[in-house]
Amino acid sequence: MWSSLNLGDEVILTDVEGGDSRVRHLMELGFTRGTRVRLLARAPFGGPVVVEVRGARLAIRLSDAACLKA
Amino acid sequence: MPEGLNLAPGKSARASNGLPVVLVGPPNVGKSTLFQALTGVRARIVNYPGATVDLQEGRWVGTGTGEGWRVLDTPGIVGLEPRGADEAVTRQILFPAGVARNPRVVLVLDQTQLARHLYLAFQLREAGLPVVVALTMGDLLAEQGHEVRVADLEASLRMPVVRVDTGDPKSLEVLAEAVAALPVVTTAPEPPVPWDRARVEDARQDADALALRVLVPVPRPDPRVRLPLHERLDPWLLHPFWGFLVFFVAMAAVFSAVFWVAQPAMEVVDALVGSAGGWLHDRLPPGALADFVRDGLVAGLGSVLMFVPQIALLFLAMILLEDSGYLARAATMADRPLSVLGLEGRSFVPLLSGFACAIPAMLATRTIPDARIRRLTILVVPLASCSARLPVYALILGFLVPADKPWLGGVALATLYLGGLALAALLAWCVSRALPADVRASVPFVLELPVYRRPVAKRVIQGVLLKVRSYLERATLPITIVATLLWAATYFPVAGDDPVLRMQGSYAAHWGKAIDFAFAPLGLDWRAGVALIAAFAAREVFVASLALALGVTAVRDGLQAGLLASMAKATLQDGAPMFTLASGVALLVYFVVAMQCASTFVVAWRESGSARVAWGQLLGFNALAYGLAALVYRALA
Repeated sequence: MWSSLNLGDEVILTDVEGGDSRVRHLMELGFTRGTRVRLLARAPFGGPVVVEVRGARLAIRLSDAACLKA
Repeated sequence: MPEGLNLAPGKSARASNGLPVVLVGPPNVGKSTLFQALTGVRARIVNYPGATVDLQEGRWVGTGTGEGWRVLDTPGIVGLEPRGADEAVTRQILFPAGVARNPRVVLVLDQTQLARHLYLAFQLREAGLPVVVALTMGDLLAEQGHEVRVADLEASLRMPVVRVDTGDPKSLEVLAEAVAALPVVTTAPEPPVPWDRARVEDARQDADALALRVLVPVPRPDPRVRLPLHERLDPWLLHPFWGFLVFFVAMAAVFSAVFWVAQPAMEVVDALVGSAGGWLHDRLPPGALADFVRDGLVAGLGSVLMFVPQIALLFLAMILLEDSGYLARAATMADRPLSVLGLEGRSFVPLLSGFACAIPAMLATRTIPDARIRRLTILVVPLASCSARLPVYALILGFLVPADKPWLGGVALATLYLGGLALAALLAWCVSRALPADVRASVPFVLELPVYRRPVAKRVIQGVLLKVRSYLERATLPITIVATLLWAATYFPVAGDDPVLRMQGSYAAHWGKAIDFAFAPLGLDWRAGVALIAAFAAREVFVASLALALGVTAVRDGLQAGLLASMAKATLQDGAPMFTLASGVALLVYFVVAMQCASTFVVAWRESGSARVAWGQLLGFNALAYGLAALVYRALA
């Protein structure tokens, strides 16, 4: 999903998938269902994506971002 | 050496129920800034038993209670369920085992991030801890055109809430009053069980709703509508071309600071230590004691002080980058290639600094929150060719490279540096693969990109001083002891004034001769061996020690020329020349790989908190260096 978005695009999370501990940590960081997430920047060569969530800017690796479904 | 952290009730029980006041909060909320404002320069770094996290402890004066309270800064947490060893420490401090009281907590929250950060307030409330909420970043929120209704927030959270501004002493007094008024909790609440998904989602929704309710718009001081700086800058600073350009320039600046700018200061330290040693030497009766004071004790202290300019400059650069907000962007840029090796973006600056010196580099790993990644970074740092290897490379390449092909020296030198780097990458990759997959992948990797801000001079200087002081407290004693022992090994038992005779008859030489056979596979004999042993004090000592072992003293053309001539003449027992292409390259390979620096050993142990890392480097890297050097010699001879 993240590769097809343009910078500035906003999505609403429908689900957070993955192992239990990872999902809970992502949720604690603010990635819960119904949250708006905006793609701000992409680090080159498949590096982390920078997203805005609840007013914070977080860089997360693509492997973690893949848990976030919209 | 720093004292361990004392969690037992202390003498000041009246003022603080015996436990320190604990600052808790998510990362990047200005917790450390508040801590510095509360404690000033009276802070020190303490060790939590069994952990290597940087904990700062200080005394919070100006609380109206005379001696003030002990106050403790803790690693940032998102929730009470720890995501790594550092966050586990915060949890252990909040719920100390075997103490029937909980510390009083100042929960530091960023007002501009209220919706996210209130989550932690809910968790602390459920745990039943006595908490005062301190709201930071009020100026930023005002710029964004909002304000927090403190009374509403207090009523909803059922916790006292104070707006703090580190520039305003009045607000800090209000905070102190609120902490003083907290009830003493005499039951010992258990650490709460982790919340399940549904509970996390509920708490998140409550936090959203509450934040929405207490945030009210205020007239902006600057009515022009402008995108915040980060929204304009981040796409550029993470751009495949411009991003790398900025990254390259910033990292080149950091590297130059440690590699070149520190040089004159290090020479000054060296000269001061030299003259101090000489001064003391002249005032003592000639003999072993005077020599010990000058060449053992003072020189040993000098090898501690020698690193201070590099450490100060590296941390100056790092704190500037961190406080401005760029360091997190740089780490984002560097994360992808490093993640393949089991490291992360924040490993980059330490690895880069390793090319100047492993010691500041290892201290710099404290910005890496995950203890496992921090250890792995510390483990591979010594494989970056530090500046102390350069004199050795220069000597041996000067011997090997024909005068009419100087470019060959440049190519060879680049190969040595890249070789070390490649080995570091390979080692990191292998070690991280050896970890079980579920350990590697259970916790998401997240970097919070803070708002760009102008660094505050006072805070930067305090930060640099604290780092330097912490290094001196931790490293002075062990480094001086090891340096003094190495001096004694090359000094005793021969008496007399001739340094060549002393060296050649020393214990180190005896040991070198006893393991003469071990140097044969490298095409060398005990004379190179004793220089290798002496090089444990510092690698560049190899050059001077080799000169002594080969019988070269002050020569008119300078040590280097005399040494090169002696190297050309030196022969093994069977009459064959000792220094050949094969043995020279073998020595180079040895120096690229070997961990032969006593100070690095000490610091690696302290910083990683792991004897395995330090001994692994000392024994493992040296064995590998020896094996590779022997292979190279065999192939070339």
